[in-house]
Amino acid sequence: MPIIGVPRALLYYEFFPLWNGFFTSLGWEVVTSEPTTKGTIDQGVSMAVDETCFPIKVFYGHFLELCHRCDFIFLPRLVSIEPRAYICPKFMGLPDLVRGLTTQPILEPVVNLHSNKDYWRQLWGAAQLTGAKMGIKSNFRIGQALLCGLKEQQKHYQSLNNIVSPENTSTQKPRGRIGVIGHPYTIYDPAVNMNLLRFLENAGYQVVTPYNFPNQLLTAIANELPKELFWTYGRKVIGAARLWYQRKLVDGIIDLVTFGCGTDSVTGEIIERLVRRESNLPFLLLTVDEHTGEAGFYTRLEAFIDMIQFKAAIAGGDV
Amino acid sequence: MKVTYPHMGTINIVLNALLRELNLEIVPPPPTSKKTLELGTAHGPEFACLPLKITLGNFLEALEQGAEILIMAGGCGPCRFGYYAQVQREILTDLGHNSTMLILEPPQTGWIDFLGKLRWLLGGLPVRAFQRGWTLGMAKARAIDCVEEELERTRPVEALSGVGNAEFNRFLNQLDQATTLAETAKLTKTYQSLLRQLQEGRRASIKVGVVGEIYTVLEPFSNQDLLQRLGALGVEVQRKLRLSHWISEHLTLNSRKRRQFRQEITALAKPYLQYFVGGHGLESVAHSIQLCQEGASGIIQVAPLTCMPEIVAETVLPQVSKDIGKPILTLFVDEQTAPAGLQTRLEAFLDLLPLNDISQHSS
Repeated sequence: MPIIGVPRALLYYEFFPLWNGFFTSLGWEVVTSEPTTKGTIDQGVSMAVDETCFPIKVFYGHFLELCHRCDFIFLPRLVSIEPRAYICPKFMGLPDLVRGLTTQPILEPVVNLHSNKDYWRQLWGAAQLTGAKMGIKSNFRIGQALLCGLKEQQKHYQSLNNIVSPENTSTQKPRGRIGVIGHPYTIYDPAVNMNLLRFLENAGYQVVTPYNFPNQLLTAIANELPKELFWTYGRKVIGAARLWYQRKLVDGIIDLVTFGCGTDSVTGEIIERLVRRESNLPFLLLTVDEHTGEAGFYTRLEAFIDMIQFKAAIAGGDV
Repeated sequence: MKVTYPHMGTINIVLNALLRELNLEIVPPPPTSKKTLELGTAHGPEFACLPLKITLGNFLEALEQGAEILIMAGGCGPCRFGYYAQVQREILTDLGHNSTMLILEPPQTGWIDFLGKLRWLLGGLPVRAFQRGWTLGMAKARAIDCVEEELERTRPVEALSGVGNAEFNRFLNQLDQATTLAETAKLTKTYQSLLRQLQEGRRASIKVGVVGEIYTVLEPFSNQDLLQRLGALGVEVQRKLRLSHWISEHLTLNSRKRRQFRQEITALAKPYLQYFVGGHGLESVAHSIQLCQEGASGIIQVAPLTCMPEIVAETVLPQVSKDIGKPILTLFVDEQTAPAGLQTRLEAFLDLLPLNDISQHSS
């Protein structure tokens, strides 16, 4: 039974349930690369071009680790995953970036859901192509597998929307709530973000991310801007930040960005200005890359948490 | 009301032609300078690409001179350029400027909105005047491209270095004043033959193709006068990215021609890059192949640092280089780029070219 390899990087952190459900339903075995380590990052950094962003460098590391362990590498060309938005140019060229690095066959269906009109036709086409590449001709089986994958994905979203983190086992009431915005592959990869979520939880705060909120809600709020954003994750982060400060859902916002991220350089600027203009929430921009050191990172976080606590104390009349 | 626009190479001449025809008072931003860049860097987002910062600086300088309406191009992604105007407007708002931004979105998204704004600006829609201005502007863009191509042949072989450039600047000044199509055509002819005389029948022995992101190719300030430097080093620059191409590609509706053009590019880039990646990423790959087929000895790719489409192109270009047997140099520019470093890299690259050609021939 051939083995499908899925690098544990980039949109693995959002769509793995879908992919896993699809492949296992067809009877294939799915392997992923190991969680990110310093070694993964080092190897990625040595192979990627210097100018590229940190997540892509991490992706290279996962790709190289994985390609010896599987028969097919699954690397969809994710052009667009929702109408009227792209992800980022690098996702559109992703299979091309690593084509020269391996002799292993790459499964690279194009997923382009940019147009509302043929959304399902495109999605079906991508599933069919993937199945056909592996020698499955029965449309019924592929359809079944796609449905199974979509169901798994739905379950994943539902579990995320339940915002109380299952890892937070302390029975204490949280001291407050901190919103962390960023791409899924920075927020949910602890090696990339220096275990930020755990750090905040240990400090007694509940953490929410844009992925804890329904996508339609975030998109609707993001589209209130004068011009509709054309990046999926740009919409999510702007939508989440505005939702949080408009409805006073959090005590502070952390914008977690990776060095060299093109879309964040634009959306981050807009978010920072909006937050400053329209609210008085504490806001922290944290940039991570392969050189980020723990000391500087945690010092800034501690200062940020102190600021939130001072504000709460002043509001509560303790000072 | 006083209108202004950002600089991008010689686009000011094209815009002047259009705006004058519409009877608008123009306050052009002062020529892009170190001060422009400093202003843009100080107020712009740190990790944004260079064109955003420079054009922001242009706007700030123009506002100082009394401009009230800022004209800027838009886009619908995935390249960041499409959102420049939005970020710049937020920045200018926070700095306390009450200016209006008139954003030229490409036809897919916002023509109706654009026409509405234009109507508000002009108090009506003078279709004939717009058409006249557009025709003249496009004619001027093509004129600039023709003469500049001649200039790029002249620079490496002119007897006295800098003469060609001086003539070209004189041409630009006169072209800006021209009010009719006939005048434009005449100026083009005159200066083309003038530059050809300066060549005295010589042709540079080394040709280098320039590809990359359009702004950094067209705007000499952003690339430290790369094209002029190459000329001074005795290299004939060849490129497909020119002003008139960009305008017609972005702002016209001639979709049949555009589709044909795109098909050609897509087919050439296919073995290396199978999907469009925004900006000029696909073009960078396709043009590298095209220019080498047409006789270039090497390719220089130039782009702003963190440019997403060009990073994708940069990643696949080594394979292109291997397959066509010509070296490719990638130059990323930002506000830190200094002339000395650039010059050194260019000289080293050019030193290698003849050696590469010899080894190609002997093998």
